[in-house]
Amino acid sequence: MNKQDFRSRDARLGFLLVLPAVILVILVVILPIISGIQISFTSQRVVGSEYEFIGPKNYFELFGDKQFIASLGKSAIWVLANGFFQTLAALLIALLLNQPFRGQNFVRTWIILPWAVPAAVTAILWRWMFDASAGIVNTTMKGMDLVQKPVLFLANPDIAGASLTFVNSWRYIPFLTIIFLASLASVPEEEYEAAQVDGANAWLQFKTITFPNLLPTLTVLGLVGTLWASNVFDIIWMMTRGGPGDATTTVPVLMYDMAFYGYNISKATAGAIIFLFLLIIFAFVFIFANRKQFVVASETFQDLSK
Amino acid sequence: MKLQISIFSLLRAFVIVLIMFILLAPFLWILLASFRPNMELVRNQSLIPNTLTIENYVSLFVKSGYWQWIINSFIVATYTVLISLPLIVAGAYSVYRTHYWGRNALSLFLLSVYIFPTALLVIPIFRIFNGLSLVDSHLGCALLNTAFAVPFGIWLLQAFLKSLPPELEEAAAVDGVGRMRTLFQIIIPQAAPGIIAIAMFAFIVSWTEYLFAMTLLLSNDLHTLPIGLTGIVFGQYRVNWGFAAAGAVGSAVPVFFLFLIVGRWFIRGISAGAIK
Repeated sequence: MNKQDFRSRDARLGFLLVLPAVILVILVVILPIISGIQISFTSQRVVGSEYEFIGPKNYFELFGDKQFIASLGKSAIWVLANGFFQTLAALLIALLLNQPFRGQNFVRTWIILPWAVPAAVTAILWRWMFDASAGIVNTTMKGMDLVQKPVLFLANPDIAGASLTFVNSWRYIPFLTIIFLASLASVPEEEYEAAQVDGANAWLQFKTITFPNLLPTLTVLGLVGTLWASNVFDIIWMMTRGGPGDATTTVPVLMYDMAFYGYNISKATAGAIIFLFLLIIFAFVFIFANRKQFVVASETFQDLSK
Repeated sequence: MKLQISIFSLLRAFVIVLIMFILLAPFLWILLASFRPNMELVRNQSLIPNTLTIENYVSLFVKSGYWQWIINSFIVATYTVLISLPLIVAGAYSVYRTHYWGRNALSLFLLSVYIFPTALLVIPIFRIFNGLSLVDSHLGCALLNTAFAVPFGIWLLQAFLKSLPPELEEAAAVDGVGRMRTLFQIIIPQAAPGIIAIAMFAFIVSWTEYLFAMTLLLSNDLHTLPIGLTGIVFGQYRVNWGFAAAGAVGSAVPVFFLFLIVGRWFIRGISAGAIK
């Protein structure tokens, strides 16, 4: 087989294998976005109703809508608190769990349970734990004389956002931790051995071996985790519905409420498109800033195809 | 120096126990609550239950649609796993083991599905799926779950694929074995732990999915567990906590057994060097 022939066959095989996944993503993601842009320029109120083309009116209305602007701010705080904090916390926990200790296998198997149960279960668990009169958190704090009056974790607008961030972190940190642990397990043992022979201390080993090896994982989780956090809907919807008042109304919650309870799907979709646009800007900046980490390395057949 | 080390490991043990307590104690607490009468849950604030009852489970198993929901959840999850696995394995092999122009951009394009504001674009999805007769169908739901399981699944398999020695494929190529046969007869059998992990990932993505199921599954007898559970718990003005607790336990138990059987494969399957 000559090399030219080999290379083109390799490329053709690669294309064919990834094609089904690409088609599915186009069908489920790209087409709805195009269709959504189309809806956002109409006056449609409910699915299937009559509508006319109204141009960018929905967009102009949204930019003057205080509630929408406020929800953008809440989403920004939510993404920072959840996306950033969760990735950092998961990294620290993974480093902690990576050293051998008794019960390591138990921890590595069961730590993931909070991520593996439906959000409805999470919502039940924590609404019950946070309950003002019978919830274990309040009764324990009262029993220890830490508080006089019960803390209204979900009904006090000042702390509802923090409570939801805690619950959402409880749900996602275990999953992120597991991915970091897998990544840590992939660091070649020999590198540490060589460093120990050279007399490198723990911090130096972390800086020169662990961290560089983790960086590709950290970058991908930084991107995907932020996107996941920005689109969180189910936990907020089931625990506070965006309340009390508008305290936890992030963009997805406000838009969902506007579409299905405010009967204005075209305006809600316009809001979604604006949000999507902001996320695309974030993703481009993030990918550009970390472009070296996103290069997929594969050495297979390198020698053969040369 | 020695004292310092033991203090450090003691502190570490304490932090690990604390983390595990925060993560797992709520499950034990809800298990306990599920065996207490609802009235006692609302009034009694003691930790130790006065009376134990199975009335909550009777309501769940006999009076609610629990069994139907769980079967539906299993159907959607099985479809999702069956469709995801070939797409993920083929996609990961393509992105990480073959060479073609635009491979990098393509892997990023796939990861970009997570940019999609799911809560909002369910409306256009509904319109498109309606045209394809995929509304009110478990298959439609599974296709959506698959689209969101595949990109990250491909990425999860990379460490595993990278750890497969290239010599295996090179030897096969020298012997004149085709790439597809190499994939099926050499790569896939070697990658079994990774594939188990990916199957678990796809299963959990589907098992926990709420929004697509809520939007697409209109008929009551097609509802999955998260939808049914949300209906009985948050549909009423007052939450019946005993019933809710039993429902939560009933939804967590299948996952619990899944992890009991294959849980330890998960980390191993997404790490490099798992084939040693």
